[in-house]
Amino acid sequence: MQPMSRRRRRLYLYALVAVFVLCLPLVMFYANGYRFQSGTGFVLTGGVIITISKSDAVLSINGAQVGTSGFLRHNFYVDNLSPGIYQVLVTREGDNPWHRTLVVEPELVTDAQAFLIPVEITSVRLVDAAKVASSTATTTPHATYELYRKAFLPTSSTSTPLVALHKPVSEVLAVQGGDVSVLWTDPDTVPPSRFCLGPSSCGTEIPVEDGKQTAVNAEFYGGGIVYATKEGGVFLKEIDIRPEPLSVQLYPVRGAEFRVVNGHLIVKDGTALYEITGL
Amino acid sequence: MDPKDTYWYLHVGRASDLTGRDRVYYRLFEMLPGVLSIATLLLFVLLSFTRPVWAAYLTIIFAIYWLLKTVYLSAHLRHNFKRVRHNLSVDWNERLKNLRHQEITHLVIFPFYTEGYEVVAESIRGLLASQYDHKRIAVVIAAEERAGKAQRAVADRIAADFSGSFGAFIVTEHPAGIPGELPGKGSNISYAAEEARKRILDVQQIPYEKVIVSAFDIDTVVYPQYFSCLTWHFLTSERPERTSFQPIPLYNNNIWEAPMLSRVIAYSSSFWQMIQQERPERLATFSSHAVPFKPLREVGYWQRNVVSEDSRIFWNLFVRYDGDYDVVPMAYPVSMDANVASNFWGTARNIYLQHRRWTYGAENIPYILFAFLKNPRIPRAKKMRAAFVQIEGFWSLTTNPLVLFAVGWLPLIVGGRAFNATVLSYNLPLIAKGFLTVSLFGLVVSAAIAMQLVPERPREYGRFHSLMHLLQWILVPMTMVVFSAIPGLDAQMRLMFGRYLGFWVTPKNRKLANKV
Repeated sequence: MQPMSRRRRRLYLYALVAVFVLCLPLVMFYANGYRFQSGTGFVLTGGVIITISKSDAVLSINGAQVGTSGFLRHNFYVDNLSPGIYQVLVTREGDNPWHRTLVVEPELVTDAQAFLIPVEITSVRLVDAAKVASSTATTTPHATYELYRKAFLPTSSTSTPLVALHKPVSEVLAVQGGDVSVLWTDPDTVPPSRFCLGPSSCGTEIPVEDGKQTAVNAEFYGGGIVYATKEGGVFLKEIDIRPEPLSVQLYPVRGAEFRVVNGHLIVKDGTALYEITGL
Repeated sequence: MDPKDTYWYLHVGRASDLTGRDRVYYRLFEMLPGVLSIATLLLFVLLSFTRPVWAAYLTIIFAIYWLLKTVYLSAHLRHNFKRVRHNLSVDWNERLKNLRHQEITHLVIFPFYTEGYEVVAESIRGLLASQYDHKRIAVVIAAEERAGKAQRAVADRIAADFSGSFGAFIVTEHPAGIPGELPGKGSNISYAAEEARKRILDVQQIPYEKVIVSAFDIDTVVYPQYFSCLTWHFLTSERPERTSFQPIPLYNNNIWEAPMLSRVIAYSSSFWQMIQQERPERLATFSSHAVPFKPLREVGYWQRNVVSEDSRIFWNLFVRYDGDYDVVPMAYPVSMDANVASNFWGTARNIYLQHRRWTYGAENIPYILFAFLKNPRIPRAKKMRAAFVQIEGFWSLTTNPLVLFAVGWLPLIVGGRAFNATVLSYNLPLIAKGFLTVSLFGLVVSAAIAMQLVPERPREYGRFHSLMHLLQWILVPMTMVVFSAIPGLDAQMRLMFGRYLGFWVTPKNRKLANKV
């Protein structure tokens, strides 16, 4: 039996070179987002990627169901989208529905992170264990209670500054003149997509509370901003410039204050302390 | 080296063997493989930071190229496998009947260092099991003085047990510390070949042109008709004195006791040789090979001052005969040991070191480039082709796996937010992974062929072990990086920085003495 003939080898080689030459531009066009759509021909498409940190949430785009998040599936990349505006909806039992209007541009991917907040948010009254006869599961250890209480003292070192840093440190929270906003302070870096109305049109400021009420305090918490207003109590709002950022009222009592102490969200209403749970 | 000699450069081992401008040229050529590989990888890293889109395009191009290369090479592998199967079924003795084969003598050299009696004895028993007139086989056990008296005693015991069965049987002892030599296989078998000339060929008045030398490893076990097949190829060759002969090294001696990692790498090495057998213009001798004695003597035997004497002897002959020298692929196997140490990490270490030694074959690049400069009689087209094949081969070996499985993905990590917001950045992993997954088709071909080459399963191993012989192929992407690209880069770096490698002898450990 003879070795593979030169003729046959050349044939293989030329055929594969031809496949390479034909394949290469097609793959490159495909990689950049070119798709053939009947009626319009080749269209330069874009995509969206939605991150859903919780399981069992259903993602729909323009009313069409895309999928359900699970233990191993938290990112949904949807490509082949013609440039335009898309309505994204994430629903999950027990959570507020999350809507977002996203702009898709050619060759670019618009990303967003679903901000899922439970419908039922409870505030638990904290009771100082030192002031009841016997400690129970519903009482707070005295030292912890004192820590929370002192956090609200005017001279306390844990009092909320007017400007807070966040990760990345280029993101800064500002409370000025009763308004709350998040600012992007690094002019050399492209800000995250929540600062961008579209992938190619980014700003440097996201208004969180812009005048309807008078904010007195704000902090980064739970992936969003917690702030208190003179008029409405304590709120949690998503940080996103795109419509409509989700906002929920955590403690609807005028004059309530809040502090974040060791990761716990504590609200002071008069002399009583409450912890907001369920977020 | 005598400058008056036409081929004074024939045995240059490294730049330090030369002086003046020649030394500078040779040193630059030594640096070339490492420079090309590092430059390619650095280019990818640099582009990933500064031009991530370009780096992504290059990665996709590499992935497409890889798939098509897999298809191309798989076609060669499949054809060679058919040829091997055919050649194993042919009665080569029957074919020899019409040829004057009785005049041919086979000189078989087994270089021997610290291996035990059983390893050597099994190789000799393989010769005895061959269906060829044993009286026309002359055996040389090439021992090393530096291995000590105990090893010499093993060699003598082998001689005592087997010498009566062959036409001639001698033990040679390569003296230690000969100036200008690199301790290793090349210097040992060169010494042995010259001793065999004096003690066997001249004594028995055997014409040199009627002698074929099989330069084996100590663990090489021949298949039954190896000598008949080799004789047939020699006698039917158009220019037998300008041709070496290359069998396929299978690592079947201990394949059932070898760990999964070792098996994959052993078969990958065999398959690479099988593919090369279908591309003879790219073939150089490797590992166990056969070469006619006359040109071998004229060229001064194997080079004594290099690590890769097996491939270098081909280039010595190619240069000495002005490009008029070829390798004929026999498509007939010999069996050797897969790498097995006493534990997994020992095996992994041995595999790494063995592959670093093999990939140190890049030392042939400066040699051939320098020799091509000095030898105007080699046709320019042959020079260009040989140089390209060698340089491209060692460059691909090192860079392709690293680009496809490591640095090619770098744009996703360091490309920055602007790149990560593009459709291209999302499609890069999908497309590259898609092409690489389809390339796994090559592994299916490999697994199917390997299952047909593996010797019969010994009773002590169950069916699960057979299943693992199939599943082992999923390790290939990892082995390509860890045991091919990285040792290759290591070898090229050593050459580049002048930290030359010595000869590392692969330890031969066997639990069983499997029959092929």
